Parts: sequence; C-alpha cells; structure tokens
Amino acid sequence: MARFIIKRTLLGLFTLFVIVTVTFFLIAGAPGDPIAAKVEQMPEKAQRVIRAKYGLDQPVFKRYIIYMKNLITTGDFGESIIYTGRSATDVIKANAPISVKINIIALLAQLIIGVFLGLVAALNMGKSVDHITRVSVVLAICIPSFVFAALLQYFVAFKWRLVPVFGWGKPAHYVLPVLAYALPGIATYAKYMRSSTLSVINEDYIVTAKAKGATQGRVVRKHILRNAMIPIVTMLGPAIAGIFGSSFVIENVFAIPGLGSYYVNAVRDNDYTMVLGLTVFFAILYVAALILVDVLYGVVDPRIKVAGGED
Amino acid sequence: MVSRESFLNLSDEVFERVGVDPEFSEHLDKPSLTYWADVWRRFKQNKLAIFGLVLMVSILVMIFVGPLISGKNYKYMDSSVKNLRPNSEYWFGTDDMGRDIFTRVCYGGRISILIGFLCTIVMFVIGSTLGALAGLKGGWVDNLIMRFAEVIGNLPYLIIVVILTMVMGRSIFAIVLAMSITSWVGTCRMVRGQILQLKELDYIEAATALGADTARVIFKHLLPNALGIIMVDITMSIPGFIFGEAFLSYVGLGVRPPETSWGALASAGQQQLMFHPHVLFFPCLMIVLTTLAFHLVGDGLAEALDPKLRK
Repeated sequence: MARFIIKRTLLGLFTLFVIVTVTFFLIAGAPGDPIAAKVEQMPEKAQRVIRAKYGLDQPVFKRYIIYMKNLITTGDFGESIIYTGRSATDVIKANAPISVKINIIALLAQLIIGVFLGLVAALNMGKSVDHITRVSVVLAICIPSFVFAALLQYFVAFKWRLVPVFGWGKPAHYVLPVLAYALPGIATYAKYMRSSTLSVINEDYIVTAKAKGATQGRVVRKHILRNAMIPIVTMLGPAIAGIFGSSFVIENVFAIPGLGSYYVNAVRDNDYTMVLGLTVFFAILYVAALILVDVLYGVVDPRIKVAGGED
Repeated sequence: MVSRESFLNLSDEVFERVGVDPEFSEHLDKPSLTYWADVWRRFKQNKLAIFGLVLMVSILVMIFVGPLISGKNYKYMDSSVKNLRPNSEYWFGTDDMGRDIFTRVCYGGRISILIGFLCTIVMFVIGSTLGALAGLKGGWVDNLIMRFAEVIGNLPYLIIVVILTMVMGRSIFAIVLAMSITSWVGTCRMVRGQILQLKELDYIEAATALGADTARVIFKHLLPNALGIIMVDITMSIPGFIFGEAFLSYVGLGVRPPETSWGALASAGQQQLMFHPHVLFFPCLMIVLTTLAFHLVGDGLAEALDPKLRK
C-alpha cells in the first residue's frame, strides 16, 4: 500500500510538472504581446520599466526558471498583468472557498437525489415511475447547464420571483446555481444507479435475504443499496477532483464571485499571468484530489487494494 | 389383364431419384444473417432508437437544405427587423442585428456538427491506434502508452481546452485539436481492453502464424471486431463535443464571428434572455434535439450490439 501511494504521488508530481511547464510555454508563446495594449501610449522608457517589472525583458527560458522557483519556494502564483497589484494568490484566497462551497453542496445534491431516483426507478421497473425517470434523465443529460441555468433564471427568478436573480451571501442565492449545476450529475447518477441496481437485484444473496424473512426495507438498505453503490463510488473520484474548478459557467451565469468566474474573466481579458496562476492552482488541487481518491479506493474496496499491491 | 403401369400411366421416367442433397440437409429454419444484418434487425425493433435516427436525419436535412428554402443569408443584417418574434417571414424570428435566426441556426448547426464529427474522428483515430498498439504489443510499448495516457488523463480537461484555444486562436482547427487532444484516453483504454480480450482468440494466432504483420492484424482482424463497442462510443461522444464547443463559445473562445455555431448562438441569446427569449430558445432546442437523437441511437445501438440481449 505504501508503495502504491508513493508511486501514485510521484506520477502526480510528474503530471503537475508537465501541466505547469506546458501551460507556461504555451502562454509565453501565445500570439500577441500581453501588455502591448496597456503600454502603447507610454514613452519608450516607461515601457521598458514595465516590461522589466513583469520579467518580459528576459528570455522565455529564464522566465520559466524564475516562475518555477517562486512557485516552489514561496507558493507565489504570479500577478495579474491587466489589473496592477492583483495577485493570483489573493484571488485564490478570497474566492476559492465560494467555489468549493457551491461544488460540495451540488455534489451532495447530485449524489443523494441521483441515487434515490435510480433506486426507486429500478425497484419499480416497467412502471410509470421508471418511465418518467428514464425520460427525465435523457432530457436532463441533453440540456447544457448554462441553458438550464438561464431557464431557471428566467422563470423561477425573473417571472415568478421566487428567489433573487443575482446576488450572493444569503441561502436563497444558493438555490438556483446549485440546482442548475447539479442537474446533469443527478441524471448521470440516476442512470448508473438504475442499471447497477437492476444487475444486483436478482443476485442470490438478495433472494437468500428475502427467503430468510428480511423485510423489503432491510433488503433494500442492507443488501441492494450497498452493492449497487459500488460503481457509483468509482464515479465519485473525478467528481470530487472536479469540485475546485468545474463550475465556471454556472458561476458566470449567476455572477457568483467564485474562482470560476475569475478564471473565465481572465480568459476573456487575455490576462495571461492570471490564467497561468489559476491554471497551476486548479491543476495542483485536481491532481492532489485524484491521488487522494485513488488511495481511498484501496481503503474502501479490498479488490482494488489487491490490484494496487500487485502493480 | 391391364397392367398397372398402363392403367395409372406411371412409367419409370416419371420418377426421379432424389438422393441426399447435402445442402438441403444443412438447411436451418432461420435464414442466416451476417452480424451487421442481425444488429440492424434488432435495432429496427427498438422504436426509440428509430425515432432517434429519424430525428438525426431530419436535423441533418434541415441544416443543409434549410437555408435554401428560407432564401436568406446568415450574415445579412437588416436594422429594420431587429429582435422580431417568430413569424411567417422569419420562422425563428430575428436577432439583435436583424439577422434571420432560422438561417443562422442552420449554419451554426453545420459548424457544431462538423466540430462534433471532427473531434470524434481525431479522438477515435488516436485513441484506437494507440490502444490497439498497446494491447497488441504489450511489454514496454504497452507500459509507455498507458503511462502517457495516465498523464494525459490526469489533466483537468476544461482547463486544458481553454488554455489551448486561448493560445492557438479560435479557428475550427484549434478548437478541434484542443478538445480531442485530451479526450482520446477513454477510447484508448477501451480499445486496449477489447484487444487484450480478442487477441487470445485462435484466429488471431492463425493470422500471425500465416505471416500477417501487426498493421494487418490490427486493421483486418482486431478493429472490425472491436467496431461495435467503438461505434457506441462514437455516437455518445458527438453530443459531448457539441456541448464542449458550446462551453467554449460561452467562455468567449468559440468560433470567430461572422461564423457561428449553436453554442455561440445560445451564448448570445443567453444575454438577452429577459427580453427576447426566442433568441436563446431555438439554438438550445437544436442542441437538445441533436443530443437526444444521438443518445437514443447510441442506446439502441448498444442494445442491438449486445449479444446477451439477443432474443
């Protein structure tokens, strides 16, 4: 197990190194001068000073070394090139918690509602509950989340005035973003839960449990749910890894001051250093979460532990 | 005495020796079907899948023939007909620059579906070639390819796509490259698994013994056999890429105007949702219908290809 963790961590570090390096050189080689628009009107000398400030007078490779050194020794993600004085580190500190909060609530909603729907549909296979769930699942998968977000905004907030359209801070502000963000996930979990429940439901141990006189509720809770959840647990890995940076669009539609909106705006503004800093931050969290999830699998599912040990 | 022969007028010539017809004795009750004929037969029985297929064909016909019927130019702006609701002249209404939305939706659909197809082809070619190579060669080749796939698979997808399109510009080529460069990992793993299963079979050994080289074994024997599962994967991937393009357009990295796509149209419509909901409605409807069609066909295909479900 220790060997597996070390191996996984090394691979993770290598991946991170690749991401940071590739991102750095891609952005450094991007067409156009990142600060040209800003310094155009200035005298020659001022331009040189500003270039030196951002290290743009140095050759690319040297900039890379400096960036890596700052990143590793001081955890400095870089400073915005458009908004003077705004550093990526500050933006992350101020806004990452908001994104994480939304993502965790949405993930829980997806898991609980999705598993429940899938289970109910499978237990009532062929009945109307099942048909309605299946059709809704297909429809929900087919709607891009920003469209669903826009629809919710239009009807629930704008036409019926049940919750505020924009804003942040009160619990009512969470309702629509979480709903819009969770919908595709709910549908996916429901779909997989339904099929995995159906494959478990006729197993011998279920029949045995029923034959021994277990009540329907007990059979569902103790036997069906636990076994049918295994594939769902496997799907949780990427979902947990994604909680730090996959809500870009939703944050943008609802004007939530999370990290995702900053990222999208930095991309729109061509704020190269900010994009680089945030990308590195997302990548670190993503890779760390993947490692954590892989290790946790070994703890949760004994079969994976065996495979990991053999590897 | 009248002879029996003359009375019944039966002579030896009337009779013919039937003997044993080897072909007839081999005759089965069911006409033999090739694999694909059988798949098609089962696919046809699935009403939902056929509905999906019809929907898919109708959408394709609409986006290619639609502009000819409407007789309008998708770039033509007419400031006298801004933001019209759908009517007999402008079937889907007009946008904020007085362009005909129906024609724009048709043109946008061409781009969206083109991107979906191209991404899927690139993903499929890279993924299945590497997967087949890894599965077939084994040893260090397998190790190298799978480690490489692991690193690529560990990259946060959306972020990589955003960075790549940001750096390479917003041409269709850049979008396709950015989206397919990280997505082949799944195909690669799946094809490798299939190949590992298939290559133990005798006919592969026979082909190798007869002197077929690796390329011939891959393209002549292995790919056709893995084709079923790959086809399902392809049908399910296209809507994913259409969504991906919609996301990029939303972030502002989609196709460059005056070219347009469903994603670009939807993201433009999203901004005017409160006042002119029809601008958002039609591109979204097309995205939803297309995704639905591909999902239904993919599900039907998966069911038709699964020998376990054969009746």
